[in-house]
Order: sequence, then structure tokens, then C-alpha cells
Amino acid sequence: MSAVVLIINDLLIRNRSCWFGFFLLFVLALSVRLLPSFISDTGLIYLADLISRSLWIVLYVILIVLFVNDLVLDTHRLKYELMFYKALGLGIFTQFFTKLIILLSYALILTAMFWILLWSLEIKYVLLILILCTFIFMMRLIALYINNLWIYYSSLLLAAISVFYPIYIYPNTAYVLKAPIAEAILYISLYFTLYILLSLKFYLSSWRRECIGLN
Amino acid sequence: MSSEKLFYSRGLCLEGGYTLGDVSVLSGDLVWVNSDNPMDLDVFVAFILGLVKIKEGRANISGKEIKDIPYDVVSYFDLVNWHPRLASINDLVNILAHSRRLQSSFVLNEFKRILNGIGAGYALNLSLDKMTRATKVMLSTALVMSIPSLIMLLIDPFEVLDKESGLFLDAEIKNIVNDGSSVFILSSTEPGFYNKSIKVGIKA
Repeated sequence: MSAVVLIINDLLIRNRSCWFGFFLLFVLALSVRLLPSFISDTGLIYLADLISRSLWIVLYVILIVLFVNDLVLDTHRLKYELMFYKALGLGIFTQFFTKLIILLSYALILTAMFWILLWSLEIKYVLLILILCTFIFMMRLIALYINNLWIYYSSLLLAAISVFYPIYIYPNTAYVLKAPIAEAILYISLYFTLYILLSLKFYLSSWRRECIGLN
Repeated sequence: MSSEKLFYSRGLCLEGGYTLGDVSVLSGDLVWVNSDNPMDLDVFVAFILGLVKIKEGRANISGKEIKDIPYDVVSYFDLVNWHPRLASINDLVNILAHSRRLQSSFVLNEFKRILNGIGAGYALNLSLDKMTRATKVMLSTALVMSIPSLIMLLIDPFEVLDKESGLFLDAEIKNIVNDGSSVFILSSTEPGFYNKSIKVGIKA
């Protein structure tokens, strides 16, 4: 377990820019909630709320992408990182799941900022964000595997669009948001399992290709 | 003292077409692992750590398949190519001791003794990010040698040492092999002494 602490500590120290983004989102959300105390024009408040929510979603996706980029290193460094932690007793599976859990924890902290903005607690947004993060993580690993980052960025753009408009080849956000909780959990757990299995497959494959010098 | 067969390989061909020469390493052997391409030595490390599959041939450590051996049988560190961000090197030593279920003070004292012996005692007060490549090589060597293991992998340990430090390291390695461990020196440069060698190559 102590080597797991090393992974977490390494990520926390490395991601100073992401923590600054976390602070920025918090200030943004809080300032919007405090706006009605200073402005009485409801039209202006509505506009500020709309702009800040849009800005928040864009910043959110950017921060998650930056965080995933730090989680999944370039192939050359990934090889040495894998061997380093393997020598400390952390297998490939443990390393992969530790990173996935760190990513999801980070996403949940950011989501808490969104709740301040919305001033409501809705589980469906948590589930949607869990899917989005797992999806981004998976696409980063696929891009690593085929050695083409454009796959990551282009599909990421489509995933961001799917937050606003359902694109059926990607997780259907409209369905997830509207379906009753029980059905949402069923489909999300299926997506989650599929994404974890695919991500793990590509994680192992991409590492193995790098480890034996095929990349 | 009877020697136990620690590492054995016959007709080995790994994924990617990498080959290892036939060798039988006993406890107390000092082995030189070399290759025409230094990058191929990484494949040997990955293989010993159980990360690379065997396509042909056989290999085992202490009679067991490579993938089945406990991780604490092998001691390996390479801070040159990658290291986690840490406040101080002492944190890494403590985590290392904890992962091997050893007393932190024992590992730390041994680590400091070896580090001072090879002339890198100043590194204890440095941040990993600010260290030169040579210092990281010395740190990696000291870390590996401060943990008792059956198999120790040293990456170019003599490359950055002066004559006096090299003699100290010589003596330490000899003590380790006399205690029954096997030391594998991974280097493109032939070390001053060894009794077996393994060449990592590519199958034509």
C-alpha cells in the first residue's frame, strides 16, 4: 500500500496547475452564487449564470484532460514508471486502477464545485461525469496504443459535444440525464465495466509494445 | 557453501524477437549483462520483473516461472530515466523499506553508508529534480544495494565513479555475492570483474 501512496503523492505534487484550476472553478462558482447580493437585474443574473455554467463546463473538460495527460505519460516515460513501481511490488493492474480511482476522485472534487454553482445535488450529474472521465482516460490510452494523439483530441471534442447534444456512438448523455436512476445505474455500470476492460487492455498492450521497443 | 541455481535460461526468445544467451546463474555469481544496443538492457530488466513474455525457450528464477516470483526477490532502481516527485530522498527510502517489510532505520543507515562510500553523501540534501544524471546513478546504486535481495540489478554503477569510489563499490559487491546474492551489472562497458555474462540480442 505504501507504494500506492507514492503514486498519489507524485500526482498531487505534479498537478499544481490543475489545483489552481480547482481554485479558479471554486471562485467562479462562488462569485455567481453571490451575484444576486449585488445586482438586482434578474436578466443580468440569468446571463451571468448561463455564461459561467458554459465556462465551467469548458474549464472542467480542459482540467480533466490535463489531469489525464499527467496520469498517462508519454510511452517512453510510461515504460520506466511501470518498471519503477513494479520493483516496489505494484503490479500493472494495481497501478492502472490506482490511477483510475485518483482520476475519478479528482473529477468528484470538481463536481462538488459544480454543485455550488447549481445549488443542487443531483446524482445523475455525478454518474455522467464518471462516464466522461472514464471515457477520456480510455481515449488517452487508445491514442497511446496507436501512437496518434489526434484520435484522443478529436474524439474528446465529440465527447464534449455529447454533453450538450446526444451523439449515439458515444455515451448518450441525454438518455443518462433523463432516465430513471435505476436504469441510469444499469447502463452506466455497463459502460463503466466496458471502458475499464478496454482501457486496461490498451494500457497493457501499449506498455508491452513500448517495453519491448516496438513503439 | 553449496550454490543454489538462481537464474536459468535456455534457448530464450522474448516478445519482440529479443534473445538471451543460455546461462545458469548460481547464488553468489556476478553477472555482466550487455548488449550491442544499450536500450535492449531495459528489456532484460522488464523480463526479470515479469513484464515481458517468453515466446520460445525456458527461464526461471529459483526454479519458479519468472511471473510467479515475489517482487522482493529482485532489487532494482533506475532514478535516471524516471522518478516520482518527492520532498526528499528519505521519503523514498522509507517507502522502500516499508514495501519490503524492513525496518526503515536499517535501510536508511545502510543507504547512507553506501552513498557516503561512493562519494555521493551530498545527495541526501538535494531534491531529485535538481540532481545531475551522475548523482541519480549513484543514488540508484545505493538504493539497490541497501536492500537485501537474492537478485540485484545495477545499471552502469561504475560509469560515474572515480577510482576510490569504484574500489569501495567493488568491495561492497563482493560482500554481497559472498552472502549468497547474485549481482547483475547491466552495462555496455565491460566491468573489471565478473564470472558470468549474458548478452541481450535481437533474433535475425
